[in-house]
Amino acid sequence: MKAACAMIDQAIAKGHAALDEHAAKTLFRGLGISVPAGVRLDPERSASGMIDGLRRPLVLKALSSEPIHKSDLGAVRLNLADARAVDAEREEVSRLIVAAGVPLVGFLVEEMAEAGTEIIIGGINDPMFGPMIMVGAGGIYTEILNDARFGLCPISRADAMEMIDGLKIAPILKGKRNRKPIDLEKLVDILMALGGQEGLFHLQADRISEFDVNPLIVRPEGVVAVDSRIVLKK
Amino acid sequence: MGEDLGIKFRSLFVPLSIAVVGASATGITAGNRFIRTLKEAAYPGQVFPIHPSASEIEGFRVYPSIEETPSAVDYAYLTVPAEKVESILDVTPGKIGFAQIMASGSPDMLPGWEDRLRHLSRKTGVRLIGPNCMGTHSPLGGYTFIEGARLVPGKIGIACQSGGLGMDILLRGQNLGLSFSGLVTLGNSIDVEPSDLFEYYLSDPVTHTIGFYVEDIKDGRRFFELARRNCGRKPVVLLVGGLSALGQKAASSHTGAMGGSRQAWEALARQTGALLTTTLDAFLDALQLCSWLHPQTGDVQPTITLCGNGGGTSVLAADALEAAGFGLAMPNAEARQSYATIEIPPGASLENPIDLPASVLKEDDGRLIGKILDIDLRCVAPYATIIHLNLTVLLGYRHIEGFLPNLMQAITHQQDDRIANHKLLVLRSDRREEVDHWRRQIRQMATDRGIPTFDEIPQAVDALKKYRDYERFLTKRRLIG
Repeated sequence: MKAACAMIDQAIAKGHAALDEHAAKTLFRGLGISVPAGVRLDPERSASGMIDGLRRPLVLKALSSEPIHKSDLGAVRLNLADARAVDAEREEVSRLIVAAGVPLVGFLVEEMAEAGTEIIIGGINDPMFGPMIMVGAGGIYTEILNDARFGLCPISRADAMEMIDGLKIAPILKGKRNRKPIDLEKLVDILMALGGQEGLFHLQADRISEFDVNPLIVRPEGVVAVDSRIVLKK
Repeated sequence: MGEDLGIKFRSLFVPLSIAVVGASATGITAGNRFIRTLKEAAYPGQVFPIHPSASEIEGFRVYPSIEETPSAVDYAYLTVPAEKVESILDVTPGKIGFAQIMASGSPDMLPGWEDRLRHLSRKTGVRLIGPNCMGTHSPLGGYTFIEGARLVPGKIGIACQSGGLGMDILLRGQNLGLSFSGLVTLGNSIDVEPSDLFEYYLSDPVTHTIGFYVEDIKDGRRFFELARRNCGRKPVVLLVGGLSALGQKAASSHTGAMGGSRQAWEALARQTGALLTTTLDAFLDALQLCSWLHPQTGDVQPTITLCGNGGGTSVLAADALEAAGFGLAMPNAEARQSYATIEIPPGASLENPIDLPASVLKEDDGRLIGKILDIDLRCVAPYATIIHLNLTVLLGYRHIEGFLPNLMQAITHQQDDRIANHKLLVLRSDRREEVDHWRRQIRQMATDRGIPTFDEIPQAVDALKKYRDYERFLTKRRLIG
C-alpha cells in the first residue's frame, strides 16, 4: 500500500489527471493482482532489444497522463510478432495520439493475454456515500450489457461474493455449459484488495476519483488485469 | 449509549410542555389547528401559545415570548414565516429542547438563513427539526400534527424528509392497520438528520421496525454505518426519492457511467438487509410485512398457496408469483386424502391455485375455507399463503347471518402456531361505496390479527419478494435460525 501511495503522490505532484496504464498496472501488481508481463518504452524508444523476454504475440499500447479511451483512439495494436512490427505500429499510434491532442508519455509492450471471461471491476465516489466499488460483465460491451453490481466501501467478503453472485454472468463464471469453473475466491480477493477495509480505493478515495480494471480476464488458470485506468482527483 | 439517546430525544417524543408559535387569536391558522389536535388528543402536558398581544388562544393562556413561559419548553412548534424564526428561537440556552420549523426560506435567503439557524442551535442548545416540514407524531407523548391521525402506540419509527409524505404515511398507514412509535417530518434536515433518528430508533426498545423517506442524506457514511451495525436486527424499510439522479455526469470511466444514486442505495440495501422501495404503497406494504411477519430463515423453499375466488385472477397471480421467483405449493397425497373427508360443493378446485367460488366460500355460513386452509397448512406447509377475495361477488351472500365474521374468523385463525407460514390477504373491490365499506371492515379484522392486506395480488407478491430478500439476508448473515 505504501508503494501505491507513493505512486499516486508522484502523479499528483506532476499534475497528472490519471495514472498511465503502466503505472496503474505496477500499482495493481503490488496489491497482488496479476497483470500481463510487459515493458515500458519512452515515446521515441525503439522496441529493438527491449522486449526479448516477452512471450509472443505482443500488444502495443500508448500511455497517457490523461484518462483516454485507448481503443477509441486506435491506440492499441494486437497480435504483433516482433520488435520490428512493434516499431512500425508505434510510429502510426504516435501520429494518432498527437493528432488527438492527448499527451503521450510512452508505450507499453505486453504479452497478449489469453482469452477468457471478461470482467470489469471499478470504483467511483458517490456524492452521498463516498467510495463505491463495482463488479460486472466487462469488455467493450460493458455499458451496453449493464450487468454490474455495486458495493459501498468498505465491503466485506460476504458483500463481495454477493455482488459476484448477483451478476447475470455468474453462472458462466461458475462453469455452466461444460466450462471449467473459475475460482471465485480469487475474484473476491481482488475486490477486497480494492474495496475492502484495507483496500486501495477505500483508503485512497480522497485522491482517486474513479478507476476501471477492464477487462479483467478470468480463466480457470487465473485472473489477469489486461487494462486499467486510475483517474485522480483534481 | 441507548439510554443517553433516549434521554436526548425524550423532550421530542414525550414533551412535558409544548409552545406553539403562529396561532392566531382571531382566525384559524396552522398553529390553531395544531393546538386543536393537542386538545383533541387530550395532550397531558402544558400548552403555551405564543403571541405578542393576545391573552388567550384556543382556551390556553398566551405568553408574549418563549422566554416568558413559566417552565422550560420541551418542544416548540413554529408556523411563523421564515424571517420571524430567528428572533423567536434566540432564547436563554437550555430553554427549548426541540424546535420544529414549518417555514421554508425563499431560495435567495436560504443558505444564509439556514446557517444562522444552525448557529442559533449551537448557541442555545435547541435541536432544530426542519425547516420545511409538517410536524411530529408521538403516541407515547400524546400528540400529533394532523387531524385524523390516531394516537395508537405502535412499533414503527419513521423519519421523513417530506411533510406531505409524512402525512400520507401516517394516515394511509393507519388505514392499513399500521401504528407508530414515532414519526418525525424532517424537511431540509439542517440539524436533526435522518441518521440521528436512525440511531435513536435503533436504541429505542419500543421501536421494532424503522422506516425512512429520504432524498438527501448529508452524512451518508454514518447512515450506512448505522444500517450495517444493525445488520437487519430491526427491519429497515427505505423509500428513496431522487434515484434517477446521475452520479457523475462527466464520468471518464465505465464505472462512472454506470453508477449513480440508484446503484448506491441498492448497494446499501443489499449490504445491510434494508428493504428498498420506490413508491409510497410499496413502502407501506413493506412496513406491514416487517411489522407483522416473523422471518423464516434457513433453507426455506419459497412455495406459495394461492386461495380465493376468481379463476382468472388466480391464473394471473400464478404468473406474477413465477416472475417473482416463487413456486406454487403442490398438494400432496395426505392433503388430497384429507380434502376427501370434507364435504365440498361442486365448482371448487383444490389443486393449487385453490379456486373457491363465492358459492363455495358461503358454505358452513362462511367457515368452509378454514378447513381447507388448515389441511393445506398441516399437510403442505407452504412458505406463504395468499388469500384473495373478490368482494363484489361475495357481497351477493351478505344475507347469510354472520357470513363475514365467520369467513374472517376462518381465514385469520391459524390452527397450528408451530408451522411457519406467512399469511397475506388480498381484498379486491370494484370501488363502489358498499364494497369499499366491506373492505374497510374486513381489513380491520385482518390487521387486528396482524395479517397484512393488499388491494391487488401483484402488490402482495412484490412485498413478499422484498421480505424474502430480507429473510435471505438474515439467513446468510446468520443472525437468526
